[in-house]
Amino acid sequence: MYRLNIYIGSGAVLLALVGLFLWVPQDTGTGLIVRVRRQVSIGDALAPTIAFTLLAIGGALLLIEPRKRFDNEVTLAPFLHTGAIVSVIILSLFTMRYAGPGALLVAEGFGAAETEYRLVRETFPWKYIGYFFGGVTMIVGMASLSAGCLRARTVIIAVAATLILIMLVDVPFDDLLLPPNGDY
Amino acid sequence: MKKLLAIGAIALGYSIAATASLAEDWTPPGPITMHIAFPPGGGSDSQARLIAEELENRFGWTITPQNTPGKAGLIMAKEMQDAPTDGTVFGIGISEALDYGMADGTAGMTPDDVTPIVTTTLAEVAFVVPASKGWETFDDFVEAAKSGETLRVGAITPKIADVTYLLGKAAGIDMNITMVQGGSGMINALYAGDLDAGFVAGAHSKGVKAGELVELVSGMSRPLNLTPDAPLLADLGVPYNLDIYFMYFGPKDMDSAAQAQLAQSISEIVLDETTKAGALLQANFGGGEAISGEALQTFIDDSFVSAKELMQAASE
Amino acid sequence: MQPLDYVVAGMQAVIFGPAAFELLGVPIPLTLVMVFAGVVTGILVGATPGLAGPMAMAISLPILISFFGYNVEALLPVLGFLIGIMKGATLGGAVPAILFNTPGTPDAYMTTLDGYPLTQKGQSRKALKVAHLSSVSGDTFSDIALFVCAPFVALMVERHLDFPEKTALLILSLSFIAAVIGGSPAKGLISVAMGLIAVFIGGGEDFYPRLSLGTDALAGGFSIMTAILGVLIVGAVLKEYEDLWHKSNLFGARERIIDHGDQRLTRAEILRIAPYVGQSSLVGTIIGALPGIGTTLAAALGYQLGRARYARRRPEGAPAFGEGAIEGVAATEAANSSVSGSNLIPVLGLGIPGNAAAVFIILATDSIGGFTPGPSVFRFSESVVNTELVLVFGLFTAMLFANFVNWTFGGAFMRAATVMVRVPKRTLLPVVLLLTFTAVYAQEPSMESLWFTLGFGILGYLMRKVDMSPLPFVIAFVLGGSLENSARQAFSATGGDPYFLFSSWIAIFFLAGSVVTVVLGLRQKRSGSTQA
Repeated sequence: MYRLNIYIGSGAVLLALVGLFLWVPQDTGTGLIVRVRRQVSIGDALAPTIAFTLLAIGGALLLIEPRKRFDNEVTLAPFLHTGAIVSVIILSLFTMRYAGPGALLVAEGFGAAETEYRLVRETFPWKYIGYFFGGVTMIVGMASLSAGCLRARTVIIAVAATLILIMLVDVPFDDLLLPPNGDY
Repeated sequence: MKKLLAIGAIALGYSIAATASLAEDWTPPGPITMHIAFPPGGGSDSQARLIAEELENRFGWTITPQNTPGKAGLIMAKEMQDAPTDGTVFGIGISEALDYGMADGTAGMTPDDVTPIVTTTLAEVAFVVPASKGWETFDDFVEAAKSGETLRVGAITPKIADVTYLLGKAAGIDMNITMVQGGSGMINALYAGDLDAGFVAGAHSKGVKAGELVELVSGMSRPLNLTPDAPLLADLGVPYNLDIYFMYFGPKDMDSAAQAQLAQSISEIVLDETTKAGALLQANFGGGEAISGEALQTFIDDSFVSAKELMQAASE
Repeated sequence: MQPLDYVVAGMQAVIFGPAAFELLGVPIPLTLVMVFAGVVTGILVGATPGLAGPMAMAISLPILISFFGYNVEALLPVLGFLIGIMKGATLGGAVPAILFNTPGTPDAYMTTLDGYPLTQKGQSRKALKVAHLSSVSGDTFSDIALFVCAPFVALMVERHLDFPEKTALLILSLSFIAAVIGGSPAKGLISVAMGLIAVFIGGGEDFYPRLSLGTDALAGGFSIMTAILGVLIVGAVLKEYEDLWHKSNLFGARERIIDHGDQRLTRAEILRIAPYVGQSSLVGTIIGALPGIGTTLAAALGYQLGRARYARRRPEGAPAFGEGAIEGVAATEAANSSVSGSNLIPVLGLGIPGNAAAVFIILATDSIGGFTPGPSVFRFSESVVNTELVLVFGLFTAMLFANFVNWTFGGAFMRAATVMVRVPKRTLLPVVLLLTFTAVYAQEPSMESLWFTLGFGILGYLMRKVDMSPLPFVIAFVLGGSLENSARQAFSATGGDPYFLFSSWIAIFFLAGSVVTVVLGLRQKRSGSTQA
């Protein structure tokens, strides 16, 4: 059993201390107050200082707050499962980002005209490659991981859903960019 | 006056066309990303989007407008630092980003780190008060400031705040200068009575025409369109001005053919009142003003120097 | 223009605005089409367990904006759609609650208590009718409260509040939200503080973007879309997914629902539920007008009060609350639906969002531009047309039309939405996630924004995991900027008075109020936990 509130409370206080004594003073352009044009003004550090102070107060209150008899029981297994889900999402975002340029490299390797992804990012099929494979990876990956098995039906649904999203978002809207085409 | 300048600018536009025959042949090698240094919505954003639309219509290019707001355009300038120089990435912001924004060195950039392309218009900057106050001239304002309690004056950018401060200093009055968010924030605060005055860059025209707001001073180096009799800053003993241009610029070392072609195409659009973009500029600012090439470079170099002086003067 | 002209102009802006298409030569106004589409979407989304109104609002917003563009004409169609979702979702939430004992939205939990027993008795259609009638009545009542109250709140604020008081009012709202949501003021404070810290990154007035750790990625700050969609949607998806892992797929086979007996709602029954609907509407409207406490509390309170009333006046032989009393369904549904109009009172009157749905209304106006919710909207100026005020009345017209759609077609759509319960969550949620990323990217085309969204999603998941409500985070993120600005303005405008927050009685009153809410929240928590 985890004493959850104590962990959160002390974590918040710790973060607040780091913020108040390291991050805010080191990483702001002006102090709590500044004198500009012969006038005293609020500096850039004041607002974050107050925010971190609130964090410290919240954390401290949580530490002294009477704990419920039945503290939330938090076990490790669900965290691991969610961690796996998050990894699948990360993997699919990477696929989304690099599948298009990667495919272009491969095509060039097979003798296609030398070019850059940036210049073909608005032409079929390059503009859809990353989104399509990233999207399918995300849906199939998450659904299969959760169900504990990979079914052909899931893949079909994923392909269909991704294609529908492409048609819904990219085809009617001229200025909307699908990932990763706005990064170029 | 503005008409005259516009005609001059047209001439300038054509002179570029004549000198830069390279421009004729330039076509973007791929889709274009056009950054906009303003938040979505609002007049500045629409101006940029309408110009993009017209460029697409005229030349068949693919342009994706992208809002990259923040720090009066510095965020956009930084964003473009590593961008490709083949003309497929450029953006629209205000000239203040290049002069005042880079003047104190914290940005780590100078105007030489960008390629200026062309201006679209000069912002109609005026020192504005609500008509309900009863002040008709700047002298009335000074009088009120001397007799009553300290007046509250808004500023929408740090450069404007500096000039406001110097204006007060020259007139021998104290003001509480308050930063406000954008032109509409200023107008709302003026109407609500939270502020007594402030420099506004065009958002006030409607209120002035309706008689709810009064322009007391021109912030530009030329008189105001709606109140041509209002004094200039120079007349009031302030040796700086708030000539803030909306302008296009690209990354450093941008392809000169691209620069010339873009300058020419954009100036044709903004000076043509039959385009949507031209009509918008006509309605909000009294018309487009397209300065490019040498003239633009000179303006930026001069105002960079003057911005440093302004910063110095305002911190004394 | 006179006040009445503004009302007329607002209605005209909707009815004679841009047309979507022509039907038999008659132009059909785009705004009305969008409201209709919004209501239908809302009912379907509300009826789908795992999806909620704010989610649909969040995802559709960036796509709508890209479609309609960033101009004032886009406001009414976009807001109309969002409001349609908001109103449809509370109605749709009752469907699975009544039919399958599964609340479609969290606020429909109380509806299961009497709705499902009615279904078991073969009276599901009657229960749906009661839910429909009560829900729409509550909603309409709440809208009327909004139309009457918002202008007065705004005028009061504009007349009496200067920069210091506005700052104090923002502080009061945030502490109220921190103290009330999630049951623990300490966690509420942490949530608010994290929202503020997140929004302060990259901001500031100096040329150096503060707290950016010298990186360009943080220099522009986190956009509101990444933060809110991350915490609210991605966080919810991750949490839902974890819950799914515990149970097997619940929505495979369902028993057939067999209705028998008269499903009509008699005049006598309508008269019987009327006082419950009235009582709950009032409760819901009041709760909706307060920032932070949303539909779930309204539903619970409406149900409790309804039960107390029922205990005194229960007709001979009628089922008790919890055993299939139509009064129970009526009390809950009227209460949770009557939040949706009055929660716009603080939005339009003060520019302060009280719940997730209101956040997206603010976000929409923020992104499109040309309309800044807040007291200045209600300036009945005579010489120049205040376009914002025209828009407000246009918005009110759209709300009335949404109610009309709910009254007329809502019942039919509720029955049709039954199919949504069968959509398997396991495949639906990843599609929602992909759609969320797509929507964020549409608004802000860089992979960085997707990573930020995922990061905020993990934060939102952890917060849900430890029973910390993400709503204070979201509202603090939305209000943080205005809080800092108004404090800066108050400070400068008072000539650098360090005690500017104590410069007037109103400001002191607001500040005292914020301390009191937190202290009361703590004490209540203390007594609550000793009971448990």
